Amino acid sequence: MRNLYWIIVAAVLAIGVHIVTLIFVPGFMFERNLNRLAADFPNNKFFLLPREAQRRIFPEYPPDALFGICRFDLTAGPVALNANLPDTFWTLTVYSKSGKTLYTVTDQQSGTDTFSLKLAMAPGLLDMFSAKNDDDDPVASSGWKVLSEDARGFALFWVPAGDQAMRENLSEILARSSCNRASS
Amino acid sequence: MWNLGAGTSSNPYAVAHFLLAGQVPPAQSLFRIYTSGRDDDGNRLRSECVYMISANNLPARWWSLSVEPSDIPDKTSTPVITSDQIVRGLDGSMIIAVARHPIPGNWVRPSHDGNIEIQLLVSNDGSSQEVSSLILPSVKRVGC
Repeated sequence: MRNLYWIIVAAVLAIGVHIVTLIFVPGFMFERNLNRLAADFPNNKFFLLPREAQRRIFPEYPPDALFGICRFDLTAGPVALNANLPDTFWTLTVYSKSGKTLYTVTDQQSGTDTFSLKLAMAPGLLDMFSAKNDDDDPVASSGWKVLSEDARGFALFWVPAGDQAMRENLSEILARSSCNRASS
Repeated sequence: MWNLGAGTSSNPYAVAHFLLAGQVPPAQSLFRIYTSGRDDDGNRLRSECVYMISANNLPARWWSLSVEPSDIPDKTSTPVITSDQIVRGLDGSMIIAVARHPIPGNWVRPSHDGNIEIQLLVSNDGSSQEVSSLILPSVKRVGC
Protein backbone atom coordinates (compact mmCIF):
# COMPACT_ATOMS: atom_id res chain seq x y z
CA MET A 1 0.00 0.00 0.00
CA ARG A 2 2.85 2.32 0.90
CA ASN A 3 4.57 1.51 -2.40
CA LEU A 4 1.38 2.23 -4.34
CA TYR A 5 1.17 5.65 -2.71
CA TRP A 6 4.65 6.57 -3.85
CA ILE A 7 4.03 5.20 -7.32
CA ILE A 8 0.98 7.44 -7.64
CA VAL A 9 2.91 10.44 -6.27
CA ALA A 10 5.73 9.79 -8.76
CA ALA A 11 3.27 9.43 -11.64
CA VAL A 12 1.45 12.66 -10.76
CA LEU A 13 4.78 14.45 -10.40
CA ALA A 14 5.98 13.12 -13.75
CA ILE A 15 2.78 14.20 -15.50
CA GLY A 16 3.05 17.64 -13.90
CA VAL A 17 6.66 18.08 -14.99
CA HIS A 18 5.77 16.87 -18.47
CA ILE A 19 2.92 19.35 -18.83
CA VAL A 20 5.01 22.24 -17.52
CA THR A 21 7.86 21.31 -19.85
CA LEU A 22 5.53 21.03 -22.80
CA ILE A 23 3.36 24.09 -22.28
CA PHE A 24 5.30 26.69 -20.31
CA VAL A 25 9.01 26.10 -20.83
CA PRO A 26 9.03 26.31 -24.68
CA GLY A 27 7.27 29.68 -24.70
CA PHE A 28 9.56 31.04 -22.01
CA MET A 29 12.67 29.78 -23.81
CA PHE A 30 11.49 31.18 -27.12
CA GLU A 31 10.73 34.62 -25.73
CA ARG A 32 14.11 34.74 -24.04
CA ASN A 33 15.77 33.79 -27.30
CA LEU A 34 13.82 36.39 -29.27
CA ASN A 35 14.68 39.06 -26.72
CA ARG A 36 18.36 38.22 -27.07
CA LEU A 37 18.38 38.13 -30.86
CA ALA A 38 16.31 41.26 -31.38
CA ALA A 39 17.32 43.14 -28.24
CA ASP A 40 17.83 46.43 -30.09
CA PHE A 41 14.24 46.64 -31.29
CA PRO A 42 11.55 47.96 -28.97
CA ASN A 43 7.97 46.76 -28.73
CA ASN A 44 5.30 48.22 -31.01
CA LYS A 45 7.79 49.12 -33.67
CA PHE A 46 8.19 47.50 -37.06
CA PHE A 47 11.63 46.30 -38.12
CA LEU A 48 13.27 44.03 -40.64
CA LEU A 49 14.89 41.10 -38.94
CA PRO A 50 18.69 41.19 -39.25
CA ARG A 51 20.20 38.30 -41.20
CA GLU A 52 21.94 36.77 -38.19
CA ALA A 53 18.75 36.66 -36.14
CA GLN A 54 16.89 35.39 -39.18
CA ARG A 55 19.28 32.46 -39.59
CA ARG A 56 18.82 31.48 -35.97
CA ILE A 57 15.08 31.87 -35.68
CA PHE A 58 14.16 30.62 -39.17
CA PRO A 59 16.92 28.21 -40.19
CA GLU A 60 14.56 26.26 -42.41
CA TYR A 61 13.87 29.28 -44.66
CA PRO A 62 16.23 30.36 -47.45
CA PRO A 63 18.71 33.01 -46.26
CA ASP A 64 17.58 35.50 -48.91
CA ALA A 65 14.00 35.47 -47.65
CA LEU A 66 12.88 38.62 -45.91
CA PHE A 67 11.27 38.82 -42.48
CA GLY A 68 9.59 41.86 -40.99
CA ILE A 69 8.52 41.79 -37.36
CA CYS A 70 6.37 43.83 -35.05
CA ARG A 71 6.72 42.74 -31.44
CA PHE A 72 3.55 44.01 -29.88
CA ASP A 73 2.60 44.70 -26.31
CA LEU A 74 -1.10 45.33 -25.78
CA THR A 75 -1.00 46.08 -22.07
CA ALA A 76 -1.28 49.84 -22.73
CA GLY A 77 -3.85 49.48 -25.52
CA PRO A 78 -4.32 48.22 -29.09
CA VAL A 79 -1.61 48.34 -31.70
CA ALA A 80 -2.07 49.18 -35.40
CA LEU A 81 0.05 47.37 -37.95
CA ASN A 82 0.22 49.25 -41.24
CA ALA A 83 1.50 46.90 -43.87
CA ASN A 84 3.24 47.92 -47.05
CA LEU A 85 4.08 44.83 -49.05
CA PRO A 86 5.48 44.10 -52.49
CA ASP A 87 3.29 42.82 -55.28
CA THR A 88 4.53 39.27 -54.88
CA PHE A 89 4.02 36.24 -52.67
CA TRP A 90 4.00 37.12 -48.98
CA THR A 91 2.53 35.82 -45.76
CA LEU A 92 1.59 37.44 -42.48
CA THR A 93 1.33 35.40 -39.30
CA VAL A 94 0.44 36.77 -35.88
CA TYR A 95 1.83 34.75 -32.99
CA SER A 96 1.28 34.97 -29.26
CA LYS A 97 4.44 35.29 -27.19
CA SER A 98 4.38 31.54 -26.63
CA GLY A 99 4.43 30.79 -30.36
CA LYS A 100 0.72 30.06 -30.81
CA THR A 101 -0.62 31.09 -34.22
CA LEU A 102 -3.39 33.67 -33.85
CA TYR A 103 -3.91 34.80 -37.42
CA THR A 104 -2.57 34.18 -40.91
CA VAL A 105 -3.12 35.84 -44.26
CA THR A 106 -1.37 35.70 -47.63
CA ASP A 107 -1.28 38.07 -50.59
CA GLN A 108 -3.86 35.95 -52.41
CA GLN A 109 -6.25 35.94 -49.48
CA SER A 110 -5.89 39.63 -48.71
CA GLY A 111 -6.35 40.92 -52.24
CA THR A 112 -4.25 43.97 -51.40
CA ASP A 113 -0.64 44.72 -50.54
CA THR A 114 -1.31 47.69 -48.29
CA PHE A 115 -3.61 47.36 -45.32
CA SER A 116 -3.96 48.09 -41.63
CA LEU A 117 -4.45 45.44 -39.01
CA LYS A 118 -5.50 46.23 -35.49
CA LEU A 119 -4.13 44.07 -32.70
CA ALA A 120 -6.10 44.21 -29.48
CA MET A 121 -6.64 42.26 -26.31
CA ALA A 122 -9.50 39.78 -26.45
CA PRO A 123 -12.32 41.06 -24.27
CA GLY A 124 -12.80 39.50 -20.87
CA LEU A 125 -16.20 38.42 -19.63
CA LEU A 126 -16.93 41.81 -18.05
CA ASP A 127 -15.76 43.68 -21.15
CA MET A 128 -18.29 41.81 -23.25
CA PHE A 129 -21.14 43.36 -21.32
CA SER A 130 -19.71 46.85 -21.56
CA ALA A 131 -18.38 46.55 -25.10
CA LYS A 132 -17.56 49.75 -26.94
CA ASN A 133 -18.83 50.13 -30.45
CA ASP A 134 -16.04 49.67 -32.99
CA ASP A 135 -17.96 51.49 -35.72
CA ASP A 136 -16.14 54.75 -35.02
CA ASP A 137 -12.75 53.12 -35.48
CA PRO A 138 -11.86 52.97 -39.20
CA VAL A 139 -9.37 50.12 -38.74
CA ALA A 140 -11.53 47.93 -36.55
CA SER A 141 -14.69 48.58 -38.51
CA SER A 142 -12.93 47.50 -41.70
CA GLY A 143 -12.73 44.02 -40.18
CA TRP A 144 -8.95 43.73 -40.04
CA LYS A 145 -8.66 43.04 -36.36
CA VAL A 146 -6.89 40.34 -34.39
CA LEU A 147 -7.84 39.70 -30.78
CA SER A 148 -5.21 38.16 -28.58
CA GLU A 149 -5.66 36.61 -25.16
CA ASP A 150 -1.98 37.23 -24.58
CA ALA A 151 -0.84 40.83 -24.15
CA ARG A 152 2.41 40.17 -25.93
CA GLY A 153 3.28 38.50 -29.19
CA PHE A 154 4.59 39.32 -32.61
CA ALA A 155 3.36 39.80 -36.15
CA LEU A 156 5.62 38.33 -38.77
CA PHE A 157 5.80 39.17 -42.47
CA TRP A 158 7.63 36.77 -44.73
CA VAL A 159 8.57 37.56 -48.33
CA PRO A 160 10.66 35.13 -50.40
CA ALA A 161 13.45 36.65 -52.47
CA GLY A 162 15.41 34.92 -55.21
CA ASP A 163 18.71 36.65 -54.56
CA GLN A 164 20.44 39.45 -52.67
CA ALA A 165 19.50 42.19 -55.16
CA MET A 166 15.85 41.20 -55.07
CA ARG A 167 16.02 41.08 -51.30
CA GLU A 168 17.24 44.67 -51.16
CA ASN A 169 14.43 45.86 -53.42
CA LEU A 170 11.83 44.04 -51.36
CA SER A 171 13.38 45.38 -48.16
CA GLU A 172 12.83 48.95 -49.32
CA ILE A 173 9.14 48.31 -49.84
CA LEU A 174 8.55 46.29 -46.68
CA ALA A 175 10.48 48.82 -44.58
CA ARG A 176 7.67 51.33 -45.23
CA SER A 177 5.42 49.27 -42.98
CA SER A 178 4.84 50.52 -39.48
CA CYS A 179 3.55 49.38 -36.15
CA ASN A 180 2.46 51.68 -33.37
CA ARG A 181 -0.05 52.31 -30.62
CA ALA A 182 -3.58 52.73 -31.93
CA SER A 183 -6.48 54.56 -30.45
CA SER A 184 -8.53 52.22 -28.29
CA MET B 1 11.09 8.23 -46.44
CA TRP B 2 9.77 11.73 -45.85
CA ASN B 3 8.51 12.76 -42.43
CA LEU B 4 6.12 15.58 -41.82
CA GLY B 5 8.66 17.32 -39.62
CA ALA B 6 6.65 18.94 -36.88
CA GLY B 7 4.62 20.81 -39.41
CA THR B 8 1.42 20.87 -37.47
CA SER B 9 1.20 23.89 -35.26
CA SER B 10 -1.79 22.48 -33.38
CA ASN B 11 0.39 19.73 -31.99
CA PRO B 12 1.95 20.94 -28.71
CA TYR B 13 4.91 18.60 -29.14
CA ALA B 14 5.57 20.05 -32.59
CA VAL B 15 5.34 23.60 -31.27
CA ALA B 16 7.66 22.75 -28.36
CA HIS B 17 10.15 21.23 -30.81
CA PHE B 18 10.53 24.58 -32.53
CA LEU B 19 10.27 26.86 -29.52
CA LEU B 20 12.82 25.01 -27.41
CA ALA B 21 15.32 25.49 -30.22
CA GLY B 22 14.49 29.22 -30.28
CA GLN B 23 12.72 28.90 -33.62
CA VAL B 24 9.28 29.96 -34.77
CA PRO B 25 6.88 27.13 -35.63
CA PRO B 26 5.43 27.53 -39.13
CA ALA B 27 1.74 28.39 -39.25
CA GLN B 28 -0.06 25.20 -40.15
CA SER B 29 -2.25 26.88 -42.72
CA LEU B 30 0.76 28.39 -44.53
CA PHE B 31 3.64 25.92 -44.55
CA ARG B 32 4.54 22.28 -44.18
CA ILE B 33 8.02 21.08 -43.41
CA TYR B 34 9.08 17.62 -44.54
CA THR B 35 12.42 16.08 -43.66
CA SER B 36 14.22 13.01 -44.89
CA GLY B 37 17.48 11.50 -43.71
CA ARG B 38 17.30 8.44 -45.99
CA ASP B 39 17.14 7.71 -49.68
CA ASP B 40 14.43 5.68 -51.39
CA ASP B 41 16.26 2.44 -50.56
CA GLY B 42 16.37 3.29 -46.87
CA ASN B 43 20.07 4.15 -46.69
CA ARG B 44 21.22 7.09 -44.61
CA LEU B 45 22.02 10.18 -46.65
CA ARG B 46 25.76 10.92 -46.64
CA SER B 47 27.47 14.09 -47.81
CA GLU B 48 30.12 12.16 -49.77
CA CYS B 49 27.48 10.50 -51.97
CA VAL B 50 25.67 11.89 -55.00
CA TYR B 51 21.88 11.93 -54.92
CA MET B 52 19.28 12.83 -57.50
CA ILE B 53 16.08 14.27 -56.10
CA SER B 54 13.31 14.20 -58.66
CA ALA B 55 9.71 15.25 -58.67
CA ASN B 56 6.96 16.16 -61.01
CA ASN B 57 5.85 19.70 -60.50
CA LEU B 58 5.14 20.15 -56.79
CA PRO B 59 1.60 21.46 -56.40
CA ALA B 60 2.63 24.40 -54.25
CA ARG B 61 2.97 28.07 -55.00
CA TRP B 62 6.40 28.20 -53.40
CA TRP B 63 8.79 25.66 -51.94
CA SER B 64 12.40 25.34 -50.89
CA LEU B 65 14.66 22.35 -50.56
CA SER B 66 17.65 22.55 -48.24
CA VAL B 67 20.42 20.17 -47.23
CA GLU B 68 21.77 20.26 -43.72
CA PRO B 69 23.76 18.03 -41.38
CA SER B 70 21.56 15.68 -39.39
CA ASP B 71 23.90 15.46 -36.39
CA ILE B 72 24.58 19.10 -35.57
CA PRO B 73 22.39 22.17 -35.93
CA ASP B 74 23.45 24.22 -38.94
CA LYS B 75 22.63 27.86 -38.40
CA THR B 76 25.15 29.47 -40.65
CA SER B 77 25.12 28.35 -44.25
CA THR B 78 22.34 25.97 -45.20
CA PRO B 79 22.54 25.21 -48.93
CA VAL B 80 19.12 25.69 -50.43
CA ILE B 81 17.27 25.81 -53.74
CA THR B 82 13.80 27.28 -54.14
CA SER B 83 10.97 27.12 -56.63
CA ASP B 84 12.04 30.57 -57.85
CA GLN B 85 15.49 29.28 -58.80
CA ILE B 86 14.75 25.80 -60.11
CA VAL B 87 15.21 24.93 -63.77
CA ARG B 88 12.41 22.62 -64.87
CA GLY B 89 12.16 20.15 -67.70
CA LEU B 90 9.77 20.76 -70.59
CA ASP B 91 7.17 18.57 -68.92
CA GLY B 92 7.46 20.52 -65.66
CA SER B 93 9.50 17.83 -63.94
CA MET B 94 12.56 18.74 -61.94
CA ILE B 95 15.75 17.04 -60.92
CA ILE B 96 18.04 18.36 -58.21
CA ALA B 97 21.51 16.93 -57.66
CA VAL B 98 22.96 16.82 -54.16
CA ALA B 99 26.72 16.38 -54.38
CA ARG B 100 30.01 17.74 -53.09
CA HIS B 101 31.23 18.48 -56.62
CA PRO B 102 29.47 20.61 -59.26
CA ILE B 103 26.83 18.90 -61.40
CA PRO B 104 25.11 20.55 -64.38
CA GLY B 105 21.55 21.65 -63.81
CA ASN B 106 20.02 22.14 -60.39
CA TRP B 107 22.71 21.44 -57.84
CA VAL B 108 22.90 21.72 -54.06
CA ARG B 109 26.22 21.21 -52.29
CA PRO B 110 26.17 19.91 -48.69
CA SER B 111 28.18 22.26 -46.52
CA HIS B 112 29.18 19.67 -43.91
CA ASP B 113 30.70 16.19 -43.90
CA GLY B 114 28.84 13.17 -42.59
CA ASN B 115 25.15 12.36 -42.36
CA ILE B 116 22.87 14.87 -44.01
CA GLU B 117 19.17 15.57 -44.02
CA ILE B 118 16.99 17.03 -46.73
CA GLN B 119 14.31 19.48 -45.72
CA LEU B 120 11.43 20.48 -47.92
CA LEU B 121 9.45 23.56 -47.00
CA VAL B 122 6.18 23.75 -48.94
CA SER B 123 3.76 26.63 -48.94
CA ASN B 124 0.20 25.62 -48.36
CA ASP B 125 -1.78 28.69 -49.23
CA GLY B 126 -4.99 27.31 -50.57
CA SER B 127 -3.73 26.65 -54.06
CA SER B 128 -1.93 23.49 -53.02
CA GLN B 129 -3.42 20.05 -52.71
CA GLU B 130 -4.30 18.34 -49.47
CA VAL B 131 -1.22 17.25 -47.58
CA SER B 132 -2.05 13.57 -47.89
CA SER B 133 -2.17 13.81 -51.69
CA LEU B 134 1.10 15.70 -52.05
CA ILE B 135 3.55 13.49 -53.93
CA LEU B 136 6.94 14.13 -52.40
CA PRO B 137 10.19 13.94 -54.38
CA SER B 138 12.08 10.69 -54.74
CA VAL B 139 15.67 10.56 -53.49
CA LYS B 140 17.94 8.16 -55.37
CA ARG B 141 21.59 7.51 -54.65
CA VAL B 142 23.69 7.71 -57.80
CA GLY B 143 27.06 6.91 -56.29
CA CYS B 144 29.44 7.40 -53.40
